[in-house]
Amino acid sequence: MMALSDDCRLAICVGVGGVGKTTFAAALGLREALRGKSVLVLTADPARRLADALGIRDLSDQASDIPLPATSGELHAAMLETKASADEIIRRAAHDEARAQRVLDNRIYQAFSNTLARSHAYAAMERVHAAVHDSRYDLVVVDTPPAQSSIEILDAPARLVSFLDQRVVRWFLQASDESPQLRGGAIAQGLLRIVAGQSLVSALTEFLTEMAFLREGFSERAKEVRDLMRSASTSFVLVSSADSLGMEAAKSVAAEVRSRDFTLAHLVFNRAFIPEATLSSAHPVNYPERLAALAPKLERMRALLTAEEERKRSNIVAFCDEHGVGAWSLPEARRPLGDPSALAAWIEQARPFSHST
Amino acid sequence: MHAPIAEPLTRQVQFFTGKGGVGKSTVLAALATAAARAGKQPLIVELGTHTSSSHLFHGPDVGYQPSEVAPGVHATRVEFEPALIDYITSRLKLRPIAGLVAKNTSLRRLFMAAPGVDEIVTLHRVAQLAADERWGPILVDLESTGHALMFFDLPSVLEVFLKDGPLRQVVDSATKLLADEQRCAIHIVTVPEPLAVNETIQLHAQLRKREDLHLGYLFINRVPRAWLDEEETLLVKNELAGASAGEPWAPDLALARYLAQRRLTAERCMQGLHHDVDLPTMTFEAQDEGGAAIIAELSAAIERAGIR
Repeated sequence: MMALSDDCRLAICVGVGGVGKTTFAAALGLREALRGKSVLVLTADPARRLADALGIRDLSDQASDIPLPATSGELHAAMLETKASADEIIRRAAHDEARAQRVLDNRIYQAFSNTLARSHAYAAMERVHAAVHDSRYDLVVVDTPPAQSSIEILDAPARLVSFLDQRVVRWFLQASDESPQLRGGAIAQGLLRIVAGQSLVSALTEFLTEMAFLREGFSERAKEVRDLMRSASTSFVLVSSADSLGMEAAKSVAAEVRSRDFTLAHLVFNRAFIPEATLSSAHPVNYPERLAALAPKLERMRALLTAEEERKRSNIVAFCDEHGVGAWSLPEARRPLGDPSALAAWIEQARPFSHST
Repeated sequence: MHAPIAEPLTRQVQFFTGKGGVGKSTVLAALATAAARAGKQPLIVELGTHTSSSHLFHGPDVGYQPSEVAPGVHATRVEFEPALIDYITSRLKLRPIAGLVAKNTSLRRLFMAAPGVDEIVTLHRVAQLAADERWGPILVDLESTGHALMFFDLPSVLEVFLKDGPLRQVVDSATKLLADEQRCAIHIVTVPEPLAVNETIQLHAQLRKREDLHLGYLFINRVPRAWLDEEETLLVKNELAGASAGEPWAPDLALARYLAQRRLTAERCMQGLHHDVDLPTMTFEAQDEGGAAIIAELSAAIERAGIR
């Protein structure tokens, strides 16, 4: 039976879009809740997939309870709202209402906090951190957004700190200062004015001036997030399809996980088989006379699907051996997995793969 | 008098969006192949760090400079750093200085962390490629739906605080390109599966609200094969419930029933799409695996459909 280790507090599902990552995150959360844990599934995906998978009408930034059949566990789900989370980050880092308000009123902040991919990533990591430290949950399952490189989201806090590096900001803001080590800043600001325009540079200067005061708060949090990612109680789960294009994508995601010194704990290959095709006999069958007309079609179907399944199976075996990690394969979903019982039935069918080395 | 509106697939710049994993890159590769066969100069533009086209065409890695990935088909990837240098060069006119600006540690951190820089340099790169008469059609592979919406919203986001200056020009030229129905079209790619269909209907409704965007085709990819006709489907069902239960061939019948159900679900999904998405539609049958073979099949289907 597919399960996370008992001391796992945070499971981060990574992978490219369209592989069933959200559905899997929901199913994994459910599975662990049915084992008695109190679980929060958090999606950073602006689309409604998590709500659809769990069969509830809407998800918001506030966690919703998902009704479960008799169990001591609990399942909660929430969708990240960038604007609300970003404002929350600023308030927390500012320690001071007036200062926070100046940032919140800044037009650069307003224009970007709700719109763009990078601000989404900062806000997501903040929310993950808060959820892991929330005593209501034993386990947090994170569904990363369906960007081509979903793992970039994990770099966001470090990037923000690097951006707000005191030396850099001072260098930039005090560019008018005449001291020699700051003169480079004046030149850079001049160049930036040419490439980005005067009005943007002024707005940016104003924004940085306010943000610079918040750096310490961000820096502390970024370090905590980084430690959290590398903690022994955090598991990265790579979700992928098992066809050849999917394997290529999985390879690059696995490499990105490794290059950050994160531990790839589980591989999950979705749509790897059709239970009927596996059961279907591998040898020629003597069909009764009344099915004679249908027989050639049945044989062709079986041949095609078992060949496809075999290709996927050998792809998975090769991948496990190469990465020294075991894997689970999941079947193509029977029908839309639109409620907890369908989700549970689906993940029950997971098949294990072990690696040879 | 207005000129008649150009057939969407003949326009110079084509954006493709849709849920991840529906085969956008495959559809794009097939359209590019068909265009190349028709004597055009197609260029596939990929965003992000992972490229599909080099793998789809079994070719070498695709980089920032367009390279030929198949006969007559070129591809390029919008990598952040060279795109940034290109943008800066367009302002400073001197490439060595642009390189210095892009490589300056402090500015680099600023560019790496600041929201919007990615999107701006990408827009600039697409506009730059579009200005090059050599290429047409330019097929832009946008990431998943949420990011595509962010991308199309960027001009209006920047508008808020960009009164003038060089970025204003980037935004203006991108806005102009997106709004030009003779030059630009946005296509949606989907598969006939319930989750993807829900998302497609929502995406279509959101894009429709934007009067400045011009939608082209809906591509329905990976339509499962209709193995059984109605009569055969009924026979399989009855056999499984009766005479064939427990027989050695029952698993084959169960597989047939499963495939028939999958086809039925797909048909319902396509009806839903037809009802809610008023775009000209092209469907592609699911293919057995094999990158080059898929592209050959799909591009042949495009040619049969007679779209030029």
